[in-house]
Amino acid sequence: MKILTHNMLTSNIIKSVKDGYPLKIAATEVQEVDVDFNPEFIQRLLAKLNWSVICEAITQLDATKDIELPENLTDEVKEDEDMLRKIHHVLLEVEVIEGKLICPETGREFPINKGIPNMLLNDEEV
Amino acid sequence: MNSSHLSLGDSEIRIRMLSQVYSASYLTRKKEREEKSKLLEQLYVHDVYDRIASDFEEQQYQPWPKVKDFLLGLESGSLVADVGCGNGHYLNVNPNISVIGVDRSFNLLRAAESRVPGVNCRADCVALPFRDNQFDAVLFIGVMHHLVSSERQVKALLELSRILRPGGTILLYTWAYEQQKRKFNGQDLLVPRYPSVGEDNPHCNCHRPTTKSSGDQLLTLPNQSQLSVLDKLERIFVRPFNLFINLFKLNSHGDSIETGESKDYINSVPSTQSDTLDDKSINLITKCSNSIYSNTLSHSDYHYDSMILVPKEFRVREFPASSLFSVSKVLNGKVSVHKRDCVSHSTNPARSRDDRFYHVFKRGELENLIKSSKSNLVVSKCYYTSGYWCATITKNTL
Repeated sequence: MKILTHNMLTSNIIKSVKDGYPLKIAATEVQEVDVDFNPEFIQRLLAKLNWSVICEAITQLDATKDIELPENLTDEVKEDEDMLRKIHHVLLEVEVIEGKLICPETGREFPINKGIPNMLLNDEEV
Repeated sequence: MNSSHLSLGDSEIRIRMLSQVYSASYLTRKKEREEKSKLLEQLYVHDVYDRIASDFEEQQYQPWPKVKDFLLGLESGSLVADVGCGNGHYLNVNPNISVIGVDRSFNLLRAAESRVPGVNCRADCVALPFRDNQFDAVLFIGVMHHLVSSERQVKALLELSRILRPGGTILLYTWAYEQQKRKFNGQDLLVPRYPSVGEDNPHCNCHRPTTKSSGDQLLTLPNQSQLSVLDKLERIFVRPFNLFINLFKLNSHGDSIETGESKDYINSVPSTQSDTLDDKSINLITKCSNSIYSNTLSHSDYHYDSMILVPKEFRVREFPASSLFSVSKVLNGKVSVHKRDCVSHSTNPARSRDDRFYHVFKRGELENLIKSSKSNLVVSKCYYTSGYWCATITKNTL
């Protein structure tokens, strides 16, 4: 699971949960990979993602907790190629292989196994 | 309530009381039906895909060209959810968009992960773990036909609509009842799987249950072991359905799919592909099948009224066993059985375990389903291609 993917996931499908967003990440195995850098793609993608959730997510992983991102996503940030590279790395090159996602409201845990978060619910949760 | 208020002649109160009784027992049945639907999907869809996932990697499946074109036509930075992504062959078609793969099958997802890592998650299409109004586009390719009830199909549509941003587009492919080289014995099918998939069919696609272009392949009769399984299934699933009683004569808000087919059909776009069915032959097939199988209850016989399902009239639905009985007898007056298939079938008990459930859609059914879902979804284009009904669906901005 990339941090990009994490940005879209929520546990609001649980019937008692209102937002379920963002999910907390508890990783036991993280892997870093190389992905081609496309600054225009990152710029456009950022318009669709929740910036504060990205900033929060990186503090929860050892691999990214020392990376500093600005609090606000200004136009200046979006034009800064070094910054875009950092964002590219955070979003696309860091993958949680094993661990879990945790619902912020109920504490329900969703296991991440071989890189795949299991968001299936039990009958009584739907 | 004081019982003296109830006089036998007071038909209005009696109807009200009856309707309370009916809706209470109806809700119980609805819940039962839901449980059974889930179980059926698990047995005949999820478990099967998990078992046969490795086959998809061994064979060279081709993505649908029009799905590829759709993805390539999206603007850079678009967010796409591929719901029912299978082994993920649409995840990396366009490097300038971001596609998230969703599937029920862990084994298929592992294949998808090896293609594009970190973008897949395991979930059910009726409960998608995404925020509202998030995706620019949603793919729903070859998934709808695996949902066993119209309630589940509508639930999935509403869920796709929820995660789609207003103005966004769903691309949906579902297997058609109208086929050029075969004829289905009903709309709810258990389709055997043949390991030789993909050898000589240039259009072969992992979502397609078709094998070779020969129509004989599905026309096999169940052997003894299959029958016993089916007997059991009938006991579990079919009989409770027969309890549906039509207490009230309700005016349905629309015609059945069959009668509305040509009038209601929106933007029919005949494909230029050679294997496209022309309107005439579709009509012929539909007409023929109606007269022969009029005693089966199909999804299209239900009408939605505030999400409460009301059977239009009482009929027994042969579900899900109907499919395994050959339809060839309809065509030539006797049952023909593909001998080679039968032999290999009996020597391979795993094969019937890998039968998959399909609900094949009749012309116009998909559009009616979308209309009845009471969502913001509007069909902007619908066409038939290579045995599939395909729809481009937009979410209204309001």
